[in-house]
Amino acid sequence: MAHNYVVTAHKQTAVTSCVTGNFTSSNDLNLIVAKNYRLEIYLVTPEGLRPLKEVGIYGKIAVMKLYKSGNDKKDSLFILTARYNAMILECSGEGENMEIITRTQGNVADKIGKPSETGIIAIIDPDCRVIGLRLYDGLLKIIPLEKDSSEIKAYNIRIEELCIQDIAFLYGCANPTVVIIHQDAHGRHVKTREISLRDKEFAKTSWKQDNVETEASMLLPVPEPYGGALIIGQESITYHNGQNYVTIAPPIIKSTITCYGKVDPNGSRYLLGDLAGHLFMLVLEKEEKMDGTVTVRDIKIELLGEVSIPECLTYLDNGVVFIGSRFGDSQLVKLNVTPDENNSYVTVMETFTNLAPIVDMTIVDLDRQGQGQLVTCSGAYKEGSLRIIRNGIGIHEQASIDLPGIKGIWALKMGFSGNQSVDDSVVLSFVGQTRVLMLNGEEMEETEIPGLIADQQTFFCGNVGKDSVLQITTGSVRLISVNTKQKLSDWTPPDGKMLNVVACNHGQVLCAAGRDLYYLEMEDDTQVILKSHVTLDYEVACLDLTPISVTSQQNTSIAKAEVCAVGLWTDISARLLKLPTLEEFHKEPLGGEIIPRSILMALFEGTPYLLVALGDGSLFYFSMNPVTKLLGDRKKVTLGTQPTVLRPFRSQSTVNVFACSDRPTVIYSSNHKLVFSNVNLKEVAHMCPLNSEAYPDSLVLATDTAVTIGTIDEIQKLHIRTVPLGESPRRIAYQENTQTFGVITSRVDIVESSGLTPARQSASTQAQSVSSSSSLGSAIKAPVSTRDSCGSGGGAEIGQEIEVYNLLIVDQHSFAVLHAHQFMQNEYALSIVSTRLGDDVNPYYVVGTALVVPEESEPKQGRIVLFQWSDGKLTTVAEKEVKGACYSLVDFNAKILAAINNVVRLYEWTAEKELRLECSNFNHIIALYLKRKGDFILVGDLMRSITLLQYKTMEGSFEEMARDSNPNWMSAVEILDDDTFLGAENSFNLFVCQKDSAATTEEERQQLTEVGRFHLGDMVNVFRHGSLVMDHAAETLSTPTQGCVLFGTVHGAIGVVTQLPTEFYHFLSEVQTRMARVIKPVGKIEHSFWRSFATERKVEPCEGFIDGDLIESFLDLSSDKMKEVANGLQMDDGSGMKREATVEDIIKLIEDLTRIH
Amino acid sequence: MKMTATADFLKGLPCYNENNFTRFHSDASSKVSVKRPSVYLPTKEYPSEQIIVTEKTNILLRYLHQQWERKNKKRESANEVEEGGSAKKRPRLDTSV
Repeated sequence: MAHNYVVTAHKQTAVTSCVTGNFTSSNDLNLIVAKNYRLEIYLVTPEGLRPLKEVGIYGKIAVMKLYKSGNDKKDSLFILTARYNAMILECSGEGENMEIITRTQGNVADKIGKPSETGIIAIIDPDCRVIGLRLYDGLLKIIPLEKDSSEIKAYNIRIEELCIQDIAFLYGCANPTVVIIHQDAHGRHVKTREISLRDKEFAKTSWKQDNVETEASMLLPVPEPYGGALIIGQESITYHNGQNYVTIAPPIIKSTITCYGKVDPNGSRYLLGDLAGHLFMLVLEKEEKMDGTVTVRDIKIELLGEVSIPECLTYLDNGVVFIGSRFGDSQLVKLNVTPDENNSYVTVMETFTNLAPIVDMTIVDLDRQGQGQLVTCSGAYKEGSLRIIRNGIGIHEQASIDLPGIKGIWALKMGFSGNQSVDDSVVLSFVGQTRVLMLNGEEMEETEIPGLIADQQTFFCGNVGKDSVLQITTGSVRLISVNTKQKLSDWTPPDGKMLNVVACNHGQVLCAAGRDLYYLEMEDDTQVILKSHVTLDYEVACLDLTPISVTSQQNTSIAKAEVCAVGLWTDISARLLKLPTLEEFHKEPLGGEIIPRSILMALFEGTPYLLVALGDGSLFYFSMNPVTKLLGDRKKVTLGTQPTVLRPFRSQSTVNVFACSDRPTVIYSSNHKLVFSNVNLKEVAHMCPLNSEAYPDSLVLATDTAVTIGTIDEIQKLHIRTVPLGESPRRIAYQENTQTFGVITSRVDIVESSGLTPARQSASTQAQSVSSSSSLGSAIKAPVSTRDSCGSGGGAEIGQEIEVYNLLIVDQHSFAVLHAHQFMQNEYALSIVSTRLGDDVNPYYVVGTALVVPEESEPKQGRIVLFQWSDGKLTTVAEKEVKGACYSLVDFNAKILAAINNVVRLYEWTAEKELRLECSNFNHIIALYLKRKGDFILVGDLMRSITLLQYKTMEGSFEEMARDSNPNWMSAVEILDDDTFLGAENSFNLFVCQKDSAATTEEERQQLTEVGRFHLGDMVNVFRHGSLVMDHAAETLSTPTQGCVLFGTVHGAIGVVTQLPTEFYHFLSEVQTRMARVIKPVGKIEHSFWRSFATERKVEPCEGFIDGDLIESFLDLSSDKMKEVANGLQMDDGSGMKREATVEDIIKLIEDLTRIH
Repeated sequence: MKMTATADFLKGLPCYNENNFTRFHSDASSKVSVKRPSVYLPTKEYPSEQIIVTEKTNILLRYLHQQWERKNKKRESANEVEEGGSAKKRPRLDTSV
């Protein structure tokens, strides 16, 4: 079966490029951020950055530039993709009507040509005459920017300099003139070349400078009046304009400058960012000559402070700068004229979470609720971190009291402390009694409110009107004064009836006694008056009267409900009644035999909904017409298995609903769709929001046994917690017995005369305890460089940076680094697994290493080291010398499987506690990745795709079962099932191979057939079986997906690959084709082109994969476009008969698909 | 070296709209942005005004043509009698590449 569904669960977050300009309108200042193949458009406002739109591009964005040509008031956006699609985009319309118009587009690839090793460079002439593209060595492609012609003829001009480091257009030249840094055998040189547009070739060299710094890598063209360019090197910065030049070698620049941003339009100040995350200001000091011309007299450079390691940066406005990062969180920073106590001129205003690069990850069920959490090794260098990613919303416990039997909770403002704006007490209702807890700071103590009935169960209690409290018990509705705490008035139901269901808002009360429903209103803040009474068909099961007028969204305390919702016993229906008449105007039979237990009207993102929760944990939800209040779009989801109580609360000024049940869920709206996000609590019976002095913006949650006060995470689907390490995490493994993670990290140390010194403090230097592998006691001696074997740096020169590897033991709860074990000098730890071996009951962390000597083309030595973590101590149990780098380790039936250089080896654990080689398999170039299932082993090779091995237990040997003969350079592999294998390769493609055991010839059986191909557009570093959603969630879905593999990418995306049955695959394939027709891609790149498997060697159409991102965008289409997609689409209705699919059918199917991630 | 109280190089940073970022406020506890832009789904067809195509002419051929034209121009100006020479040479140039 090669029917796969691939979808993004978390979009990529690494920022690859950013620009500022007037894109959405001539008055708008926009920030446009490129994240691999997505653009995010922001508007700069007084409140900060306002997100406007995210725009998907069917191609990896290689270059993005904004430019304003001629008399244009607005900027145009030039984009070039990695597959050479060029486009010029413009924006029209505003807000929701904003449209991105592709004004110009075309593919600028050449059939021949060697792609440049320094990557794709695109430059725009400051006078907007031409765009220059350096795609292939020896050629500069020129796109003339002619506005009026319908066809632009781009042409190549030959460029003698083959190895170009950087190229830029100079300002103020009569003809477009480029300045280049190029490299030859003698070093690097700077040269200008004027382009003759008529002759289509270079005309002349106006100036050049041979032998600039050997590491000169970046050119900054300087606007008029200075002109010329800044040449940025590793150690020096030079300004040159042909006539004069200034060079400085500032000692504050210690790392490589990688990006810049122009501050002043006249180019007198630039921001520079380096690989270490330093932000500098470069100032050109001017000198006015006698003849009135201005020249650069000096260059000044100042260190502003530290930011995330920048990939790109752009000045926005009023001293605010956007820092885009690939290795860490991107930032919005403010530049201050006065430095802070750390001598930094930079304040971070806002950070943007970035998981990239996801180097490794593991899936664990830390809360033991049947839901996996991802722990990723994210970021690099000082931005290295562990990220804990959970689907759902976390409650962080602040306080807890054991109190069994709670039937209801409400927070009150009683003015105990004189402050009436915050909650200061909590009313708890029990069978036959009601108790009040007063909040005194963080303490809670029981108190009494004289006016409150204490010997009955309370159904509702809350502040109403200006300064009254309303309490509804079995016997009465009573008003209590906040000031005197005494009863103001009460209302008792006639004929001694007992109330059993109530609902209340700030001025209206509904209460039911059996079939009788009473409607009351507050008058003068002192009394409640019965306004109407009806007897309904059946007994009332639940009630609600939340005001949901669309206009009253902001001020629910004043708004009056015009309708109320009632759920009934016996006929199992939801009904809507008009107020104050209680006249029924809508009836919705729910079907089935389970009674509704909770009913709630809620306004989500301006859309009114009715939610009805049943006794079996399922939930119906309807959209309500804002005017007629009639119900539509009936949908049903299963939240839990027990009766559910719905409670509204506010978080970040939006309405959310908490569904209390055995699987508590938060219901919120995102992109105008309801999202059901589970909460990390086992069961919640009741809930109320609390905003007290000590517990602001909190929730009070009651379980069967206790009351908990907690804060809630931001309402979003995936929740990410960051554990900063300050060094690069490489590999992670989880050990359940010891409740720890083993994390391999590398940090940068600097060789000094006294030894190695860490470049900065980080997780491994700040661990609670440390140990180290010494080359003295080890089985092998660390080889030292032959060049210079004296000195403490293992042959390294003083001042040189070297990588130091550590194994960190990290606590699974606190994520504190309990221990750091440092490996030998030059020893790189490459792999880790936690496993039990042989008959040994102890779990071990097994680490594979390589001894790296710069002179060797590949490592010749390495170790497999066994560590045991127990009683807060890390012991080295055993070590085994291996002949090469141990790239991968897998536990294999209580043995250890290792990939060592080009060999796959199996080691067994002997009674003498030694690793002994059992068998080996050769025939690889470099075996980088291993996965196992039963006796089968999947090997991912550096360049020879994937190979399937089988371990023969009887013979104790490996047998090569089959291999894929395509030359794929692998980045990750996974076994989907016994016959199906998933691979990711380094041109950002996924493929699926199948083993054909039934093939007739031996040759065919040994061949893995490629049955699936897909261009992902991102490099997968890791595949893991597992899921981010609750186990039970999948059971209730209508979509029959099978298996779930998560992947993590270089750009910080998390994706899902799952298998589809043939029938469903063909159906989705049809939906996909129709979607591709309805969506008119920005840049006019065909969807089929984008998803086609493309490497430098071949391009083959996408096959065997459904693009889930495209499919799921169906839900965001307008209804007429949905109809267009659905029109004439046939689907199987389950009986094997085909029928026409309705829009609703497709919505239901796709909504269920979205719930697998 | 002691830092000066204020930095001249940070004075007078460009301002496009003096109100921008003035009302910026973030919770001290959480500076992490959770705002995400909504996804733009283009369903309207806008015909592309311009298409970029790459000139098919071989770079060497173009060079030779240019050289030849220049030479020819020179020759024409030097000796305007020799006409038709171009017609004879053109096919030979093409076949040689």
